[in-house]
Amino acid sequence: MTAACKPRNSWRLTSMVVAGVSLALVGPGGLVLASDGKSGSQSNNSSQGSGDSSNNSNASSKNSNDSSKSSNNSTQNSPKNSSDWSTQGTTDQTSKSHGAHVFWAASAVVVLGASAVVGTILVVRATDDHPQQRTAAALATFMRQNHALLTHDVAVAGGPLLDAWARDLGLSSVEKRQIAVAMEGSSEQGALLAALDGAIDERRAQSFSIAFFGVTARALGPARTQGLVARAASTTQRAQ
Amino acid sequence: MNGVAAAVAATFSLTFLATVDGSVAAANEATTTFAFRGLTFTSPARAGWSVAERDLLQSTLARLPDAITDRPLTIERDDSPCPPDGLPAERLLTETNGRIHLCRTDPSLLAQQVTQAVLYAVDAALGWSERADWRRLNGWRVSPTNLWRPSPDNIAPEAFVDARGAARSPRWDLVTFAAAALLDQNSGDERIVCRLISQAEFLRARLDELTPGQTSPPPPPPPACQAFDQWADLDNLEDVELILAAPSSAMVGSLFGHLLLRLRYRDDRGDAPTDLGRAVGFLADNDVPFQDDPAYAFKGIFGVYSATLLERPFLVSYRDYVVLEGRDLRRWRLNLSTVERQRLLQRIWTVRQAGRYRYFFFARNCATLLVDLINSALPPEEATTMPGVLAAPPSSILERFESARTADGRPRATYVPEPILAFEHRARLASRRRRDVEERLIERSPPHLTRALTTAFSQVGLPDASARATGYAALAPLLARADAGAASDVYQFLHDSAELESHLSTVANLEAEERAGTIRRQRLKATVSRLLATLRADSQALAALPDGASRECGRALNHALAAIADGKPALRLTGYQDLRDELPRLARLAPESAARARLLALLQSEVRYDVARMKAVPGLRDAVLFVDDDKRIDEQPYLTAGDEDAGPLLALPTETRVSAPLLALQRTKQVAFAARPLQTAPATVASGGDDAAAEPAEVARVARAYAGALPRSGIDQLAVLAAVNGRLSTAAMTGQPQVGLIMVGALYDERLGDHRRFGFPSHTAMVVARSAALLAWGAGRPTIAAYDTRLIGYRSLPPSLPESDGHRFPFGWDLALDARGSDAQALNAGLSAGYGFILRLWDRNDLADHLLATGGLAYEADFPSAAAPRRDRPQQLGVPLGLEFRRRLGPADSHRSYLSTRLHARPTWLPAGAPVRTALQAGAAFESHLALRATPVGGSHDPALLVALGVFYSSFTLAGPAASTTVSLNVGVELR
Repeated sequence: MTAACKPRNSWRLTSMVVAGVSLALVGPGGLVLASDGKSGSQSNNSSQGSGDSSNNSNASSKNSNDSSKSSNNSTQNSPKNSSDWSTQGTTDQTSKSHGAHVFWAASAVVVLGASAVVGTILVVRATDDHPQQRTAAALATFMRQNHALLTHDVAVAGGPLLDAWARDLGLSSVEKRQIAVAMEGSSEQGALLAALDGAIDERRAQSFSIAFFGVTARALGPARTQGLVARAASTTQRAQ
Repeated sequence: MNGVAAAVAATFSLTFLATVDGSVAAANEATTTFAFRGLTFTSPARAGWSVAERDLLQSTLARLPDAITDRPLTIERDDSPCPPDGLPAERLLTETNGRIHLCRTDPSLLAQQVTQAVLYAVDAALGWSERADWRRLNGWRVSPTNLWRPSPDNIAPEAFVDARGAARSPRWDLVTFAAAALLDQNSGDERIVCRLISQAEFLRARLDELTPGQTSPPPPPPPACQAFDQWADLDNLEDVELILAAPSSAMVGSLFGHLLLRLRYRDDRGDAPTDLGRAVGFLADNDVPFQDDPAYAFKGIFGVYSATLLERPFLVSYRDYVVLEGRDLRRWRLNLSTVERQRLLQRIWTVRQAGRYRYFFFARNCATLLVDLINSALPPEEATTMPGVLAAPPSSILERFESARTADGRPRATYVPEPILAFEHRARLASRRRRDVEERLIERSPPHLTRALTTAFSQVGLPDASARATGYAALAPLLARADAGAASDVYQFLHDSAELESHLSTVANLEAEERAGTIRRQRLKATVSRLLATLRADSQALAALPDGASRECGRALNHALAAIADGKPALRLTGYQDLRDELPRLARLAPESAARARLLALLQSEVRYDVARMKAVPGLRDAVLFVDDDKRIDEQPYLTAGDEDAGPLLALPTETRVSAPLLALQRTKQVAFAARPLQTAPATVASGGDDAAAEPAEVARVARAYAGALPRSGIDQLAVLAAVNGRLSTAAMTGQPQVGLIMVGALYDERLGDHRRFGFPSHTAMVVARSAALLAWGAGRPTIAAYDTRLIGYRSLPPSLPESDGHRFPFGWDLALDARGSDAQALNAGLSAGYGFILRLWDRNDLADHLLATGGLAYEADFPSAAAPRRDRPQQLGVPLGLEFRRRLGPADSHRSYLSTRLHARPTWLPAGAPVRTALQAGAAFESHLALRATPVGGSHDPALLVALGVFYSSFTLAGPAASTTVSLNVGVELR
């Protein structure tokens, strides 16, 4: 199935995970969103194994060490050109963009979750044939690097990372609270933790995204969720 | 817009507005004299100034501000050669009559030399480079090691426009910078003023002073330093905080904590969330991780490392300190004016890209460098001074900021009573809170549930993970019952349990990663050894072949292998380069050997931490390690060379599991939430994130505790006490009581249970050079009758989580190195070293009140005085045992007055040098510390009345065979 949508700015349609009932054109990049809930009826072509994941997912320091710069950062033989394999922003620990990688991750989670749950068509650069796989791989890297913080925030349904995500998604404090209440003790919370349990690859990143998207949609309703997805997709696309 | 760009743009605008009014003596021929504005150029007749030179100088000098070129100066072109650095000799450059002498230079450098010479003369007259605010920028200091000549702390070449200037003086630093800035032909962010923005700001201010009320037409809008403006984002900068990461005994480098700056930024809603902030701090540049470098402490202390400024998202620092290392972050807000804030950002920007300093663990560390950085953004008269004589630990430096005052009288730093608690700390709070909730749940549940609940709760409190998982599973049907306690208690229990278990899950992952990391390095080393052996055989085989190329290749490979295997980094680097040169031929002659050689280079660079060194050689890694440019390094074809499969070895172990108890808890939560309306139940969430709105009551409590704590760290302590000592025989006092004065001083002294605004947490004690000397009258003059010195002491009794593995052995530890002497005991010096454990018997309020048991092992070597009947030097091996009690006095949250008692005994074995083989020392000491001030002053000494009463028994002393008992009473004032 395809969607005949001519994107602006020479973007072309290259990936469609699942078709929804309604389509919405969002943003100058020409993102097309399929936004009717066909939960679970998607194929998943974003999980192509973990071979594309970073060999130094731990490249960020695991030990602040106070007086050391290299600290525990012993994986030195990083790939020759990390931009070939990593979504910009997710591995740049010295980013000047005020936590851009955190923002990006929030959008990636929502977009991936939306693509799996309700179906999303991503319009990407002509040179990029696997946008969602790349997004999933980069999200997996982010999840590995921030596993401890993410586990905590999911387990207690709140914390600095989820707060940052909520802000990036443009959620009000009331909406953030709604999601936290919906998440606490829910099956989605269990699914989120399950996705964090084990070697994290694109498939787990996708599972995580589905669960997060599910609880968000349940807490905020379909209309609001559609808006979130549009916003997140735009952010993700800019990052790519 | 930033002021720097404005300044320089103004300068440049003057350039184009300036009228070249110099009268040129002759248009087309060399001349001996000409003038430009206030400047007169002369030259010996035989040399003269050519037309081209005159044009060049005029066009160049026209770009300087009028205030500079209007000054009456005579520039004389000498024929003498320049010194080796190419700059005119300072002693010849200027004369008191304003005459400047140039040296013979390359014609292309003439304009630059003239400009620098003019600026040099201007600075000599105005003394800009003598100002403290200029010298602070690159840390120019006069030091004995440089023969009392100024030298810069900043050793980064990028910090200076001209290395020759940097090597000379602050004046040449200024002159070379000013010349470069004023003559800069670049545009936008490429300009030197956008790189060394602090220096540019200084220059702008000085030039403004030269032209007050300037009436010339206003310059066009200057091009801003957009990169800086975008980075600084001053419009959204909420405030700047000093962050102290709590000291940790995990590594020596963390013993005194870490100080960093946090730049807090507002979002669109006006909040300043954690993730928008940035952390800025100085860190040592080490090429080998500390844990793999046995000499790192030595290197750190003696200045082998350099330090640079590192900036990263605050959330990364949060993750490292708060989540992974379990260290609280305490916060102080820096009170800065708008201008100071801008200057500080300019300093950070400048130092971040042009700052490198020698690092000394005690004297010039992350904290002192940060103080220098902040000071350089403040008016010189408001600079913060360094504490300490020999050392300046981070926590002690903070107190100087609290005691320093801004221009409007506020403290330079104000405590923010919302610390960011470590996840480990939050887990402890949750654990404690959970126990209270468990009791309530049991009380409010039907009696027939009591036993099951009690059993399950006891299981979830155990250190064993599987037992906890079983406990949570058992709780699921119990907590799901509507009559099992109040919903709010159930919610609280589940929430606290999640807080606790998520932390323990992370700890388990970290431990697993550490184990896997050790195994990985062992495998790496083993693989390198195998590859080396195989390649040596390969090289010998090649060398044995009849053709010349193979023989030569074999010899070259062997040579490269020897270098790569060497322990010296420089030699290894040579080996990698030799290998690079040989690889093309080796690949032709023996492709498999070439693949193995590449793999060896890769793995050895990983084992030996040579990657940065290799990267410093352009093209080296590309040539050796990247056979296929399009593939990542872990996809290169040679990774499977021979029998090796090295791919997995390249990946750092990353453990991303969720613990079984946390998963079991989650299942229980789902059951309970499905069965009962828990979603709306209120919960007390542990403080710890400044994003979360902290409860006002908790904020007030923390603020009270801060106000009631000792107002400074333990640095530079002093006490003066009147002393009365008496020696007792079996039944009565013998001789006259000894009366004297005890002088007590310490470079650093903090004790277990001390609650201080600055310094170590209450569970850590540190002593450096604490000495108590008894001055008594003897032989017609005052003498030191006794002394007791703790050269160094460290005690740590960190709180432990009952549910963690570490709680199985909840001991602290104690290390001390002491020296003592006593005329009464005929002891010149007794040197002892001891190590022991500390066991918490009872405590309250983070050790403010406590009862501890101690034990350990101590060795002592005694050196008798002339009064001793024997000349032997006894060696003692003792087992010190003790009981320590401490009780806080005064209102709640006040920690400045307390009582303490210590009972101690040390059975001792004397294997040599004494007439006895065993001995016993025992005693008791009581102290009361009563604060004399009603309200402490932040950062200042806090006086207290100290009353100390002690009794000490020793069955053996060097003075004679009889046992000795001494009673002492000391009363005086201490400054803490």
